[in-house]
Amino acid sequence: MNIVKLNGSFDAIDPFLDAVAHWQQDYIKLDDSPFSAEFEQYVSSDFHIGRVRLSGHVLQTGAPIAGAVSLALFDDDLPGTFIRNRELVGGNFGIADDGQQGALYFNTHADLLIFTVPVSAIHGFFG
Amino acid sequence: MAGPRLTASARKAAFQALVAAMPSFTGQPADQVKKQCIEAIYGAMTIDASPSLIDEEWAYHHDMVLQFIKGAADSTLGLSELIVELDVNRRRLSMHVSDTFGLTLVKFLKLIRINRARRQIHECGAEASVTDIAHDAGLTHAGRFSQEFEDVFDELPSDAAERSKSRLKT
Repeated sequence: MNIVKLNGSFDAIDPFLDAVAHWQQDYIKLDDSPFSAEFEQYVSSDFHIGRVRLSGHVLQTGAPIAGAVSLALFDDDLPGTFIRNRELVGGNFGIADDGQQGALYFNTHADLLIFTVPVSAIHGFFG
Repeated sequence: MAGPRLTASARKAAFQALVAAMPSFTGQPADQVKKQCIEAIYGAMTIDASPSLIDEEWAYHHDMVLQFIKGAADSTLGLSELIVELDVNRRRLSMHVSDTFGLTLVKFLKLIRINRARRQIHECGAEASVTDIAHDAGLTHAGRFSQEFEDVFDELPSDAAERSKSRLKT
């Protein structure tokens, strides 16, 4: 099974939402700060990994695809960016288990590496 | 699953290693890439038995927010009627929205509906009038809607509709 690369760069929310409709997430823009988004994603039949950079003041809701766990890492601390109410600073990282709401919320920006794998791969790892 | 933890430096190292490796993913066997990713991320983790990552109180409040977002998008009820219809605790919802997003419930409701109208305009183009879309979203004052829409999206709804119309034509 091969890996397919998807990528895009957007300076308005609607084209971005069209491009990532398969993520099945909802985005609500919460103020007048400019929105922009950039993503690079590698997709296979049972996992995907990608970097997404977003700016604006936005609430994103939605769960990982059924049967999967999503994990988000970040490079520099992101004060004002939360996943499931955990601010992405220090040793924190974002995780949404199967069926859980991811709830990414950012005040100004987010720069995340998102890794989504089947639940079995995670539970297999942890035994 | 017990609570996995990353040190900030391990998290950063895993992030940077995977970003650097990403260009090489295309064309590689998927299983091999998946293994590489899992090892990079989970190899940096420690597992402890400290309290769960899941904040139950937050999850409870967030469920209320999701219920509110859905209710706000699906109906044209005013705030008080919507709260009654959804049977949610207004005070707790209000505090959560204020603490988390820095918004009043009234403002949050308006933003949900303006975002919904924006999406409708984008999807419908000229198939429906902007006034009808705003009305269907529960935003009944046309002049105020235009102003508030522009405040959030930096363009008038009529301009967004024109752009959408051109996009749908091509």
